[in-house]
Amino acid sequence: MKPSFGEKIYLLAVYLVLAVAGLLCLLPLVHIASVSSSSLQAVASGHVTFYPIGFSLDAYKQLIEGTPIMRSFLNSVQITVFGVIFSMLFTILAAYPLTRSYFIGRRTYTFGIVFTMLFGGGLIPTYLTIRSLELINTYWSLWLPGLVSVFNLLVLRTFMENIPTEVDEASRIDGCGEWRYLLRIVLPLSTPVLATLALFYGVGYWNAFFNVLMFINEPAKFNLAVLVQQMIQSQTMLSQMNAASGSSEQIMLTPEMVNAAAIIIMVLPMMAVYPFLQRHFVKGVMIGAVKG
Amino acid sequence: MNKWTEKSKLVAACLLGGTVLLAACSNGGQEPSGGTSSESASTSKPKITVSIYDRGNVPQEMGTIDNNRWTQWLNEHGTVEAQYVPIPRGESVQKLNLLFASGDAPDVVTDFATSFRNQLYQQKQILAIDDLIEEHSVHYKQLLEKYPELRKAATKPDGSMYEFGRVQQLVGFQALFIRKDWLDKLNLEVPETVDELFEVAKAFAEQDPDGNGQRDTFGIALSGETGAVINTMFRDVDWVLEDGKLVRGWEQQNKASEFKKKLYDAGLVDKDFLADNNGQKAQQDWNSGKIGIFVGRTVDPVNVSQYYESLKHNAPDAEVIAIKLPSSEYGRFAAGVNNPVQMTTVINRQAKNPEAAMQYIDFMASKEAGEMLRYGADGTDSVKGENGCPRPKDAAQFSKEVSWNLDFQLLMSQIELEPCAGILSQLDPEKPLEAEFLELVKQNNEANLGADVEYASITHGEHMPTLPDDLGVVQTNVSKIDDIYNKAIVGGTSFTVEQAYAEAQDLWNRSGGEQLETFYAQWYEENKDTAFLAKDMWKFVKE
Repeated sequence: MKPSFGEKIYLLAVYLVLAVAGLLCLLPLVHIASVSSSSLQAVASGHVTFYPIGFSLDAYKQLIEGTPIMRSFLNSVQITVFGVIFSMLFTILAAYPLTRSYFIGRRTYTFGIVFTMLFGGGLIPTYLTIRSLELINTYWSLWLPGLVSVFNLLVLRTFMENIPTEVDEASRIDGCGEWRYLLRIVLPLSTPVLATLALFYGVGYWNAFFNVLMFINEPAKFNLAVLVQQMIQSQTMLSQMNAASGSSEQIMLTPEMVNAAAIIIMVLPMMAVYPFLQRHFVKGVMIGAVKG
Repeated sequence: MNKWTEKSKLVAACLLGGTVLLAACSNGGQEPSGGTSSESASTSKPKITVSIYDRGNVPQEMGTIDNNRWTQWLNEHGTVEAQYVPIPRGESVQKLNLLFASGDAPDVVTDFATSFRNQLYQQKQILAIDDLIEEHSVHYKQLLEKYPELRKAATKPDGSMYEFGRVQQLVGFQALFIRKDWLDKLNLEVPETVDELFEVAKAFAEQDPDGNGQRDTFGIALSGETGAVINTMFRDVDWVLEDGKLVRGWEQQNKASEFKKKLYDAGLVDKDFLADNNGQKAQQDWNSGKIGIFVGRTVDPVNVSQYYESLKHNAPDAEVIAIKLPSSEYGRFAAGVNNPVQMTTVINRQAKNPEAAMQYIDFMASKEAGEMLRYGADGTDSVKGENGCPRPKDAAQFSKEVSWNLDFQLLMSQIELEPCAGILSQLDPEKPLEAEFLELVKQNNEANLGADVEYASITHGEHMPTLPDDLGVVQTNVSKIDDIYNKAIVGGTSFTVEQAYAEAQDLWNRSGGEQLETFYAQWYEENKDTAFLAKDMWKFVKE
């Protein structure tokens, strides 16, 4: 069927709006990438827009030689990989029982968990707790307090609840126990949501900033988010200062291109992961699960 | 087949996980050994903890900000062993607050923020230091005797000293740059008054000074530091003296805004200057040779590449001079200068060994430590130049090994290292660009430190009193006044400066601005003889 003229206009408008929205997200990144690979002169004169001028990778060289970016990168990887593994493990193990109708005290547990969404201890009590558990300066201070995100837990629980009970009954008749049911039936059926949650956790741990800042005191353990923020913040603070209000703090500036290069190094891994996980979002896993 | 790929994925994941785990373990294993090697050398020395800014700029092979060549040198040569607690620069106040609240704060705390140190004083978190200096200090005591202003700046309302600081020569920090080649081309004189400034800006914008046949130049910048310096020309610095009383300078603010509005209405400035809130766009325009009058800095060798190198690259014929601020009906003022007596350091009241903390501070204030931190080791990092001053032996090597240690120099009184430590000795007159910038530095110091200009504010911002919490709220509320005036600058005929003034007054009165007036007036009345004021700053001009 051929689309009518009105429909064509409509489609055109839709594509236009989506293109503009897409460009709005993409262009700043393209700009940063261009700045990171341009010459100092071009950047300082504001000539760089959406393509590199005077192409040079000096900024990356300077970044790798002049800052602890490699160490921070490895730290970030470590925080993220283990964080995601721990968080996924515990989120699954917490979500599954909450979907079982024969689990006694299900509502009480759910209430207790949701309660933590509404009330938190505040920064200083949290710090004191972490300190008394001797977790300061370890990555456990990042993994443990946020081990299970309540929001993610609820998402997963709701998804698992939607698995038809017929699937459960059928497997029970075939002699399937709890563990086997969870591992062989529920988890494979939940891959789309698991992929999404892993991504949520992954992005969260990769971008972890505030907790690292507060709970980690050794620069050798800082992650990328903290390092990049430091580099950029030092510069903004300097430019905000004027004689009337500011201090005569002298610092070496990290050149703008080096900051841009650091940003690129920071966002690249997450961007590389997205397409692989995205596959799962669109997969219609449930189709054909129940026959008849 | 499918199963096999699943399995191989699992194996790959395990391998990856294992590698990271191994990496983690080896990291963990290295650190203690690195720590002990520096500790074992000095086990008998008393131990203290010291805060140090972390800016993420230590090259990886140099170690970390809390364990590197400089911390090792300091611990080896000092009489105490300092254990450094890194404080991320961007969130320093927040982090230090957290550490104080949980009782983990270091013994020696450094921060640039006057308001934060005053807050520590008000909360009684820090020690009075008079007796410590008297009994346990050599170098710092000498400094105090030589520069009594150091005592003046450190003394808190209860009459005791609470802060340690550093002394520097007074130098021009900001510079009003103007394109001399444009002035010459259009047969203009250096502007001496604000009216002449307007005329010059007009000519710069309208008469195509860069000769490319297009009207694409701006007369002057309005954003960033240039905007602030225009305010200074009119003494628009919030609190001004009138008949010996400190009052809010409304009239000055009106006049400064009117001047900016005039520039804006005549189309001599970037129409989007309000969007350029940190002045970066203006700086890029300056660097690409599109702005004729601009405020930059002449205080650090890095300023050469910031304000001069790119400009000369884009416009090789550009000729720049640093000029005096044009005079207004309120007088003739200095652009921004540094804070010659800058307080940086306090001792935590919870410190177990205040004497050791004092000894650490004393060592950090000594010339020996200062020269080492500033120049590195004589012969390997620096060699003496023709002027007798140490200069980096190899610039790249120096920036990798030495120059990131700036935050260890917060107690170094640079004035004791003069004439070698300042920018005048650090630039290399052999290199043409640096030689030209050297001239700019000299011009700027001449323009801003002379007896014929006045410092617009009563004192440097870091020596202004800290507002109590409730007044801090008022201050935040009335800070919107600047937005109202900005609205007038871009508002054309529909929103004039008079209207902005009326609206600002209204906001001021509604927000309790008179409490601020009372506070500042009273503070000045009570402290005008003891506080560190502009006249004290000018004592640090090099004769």
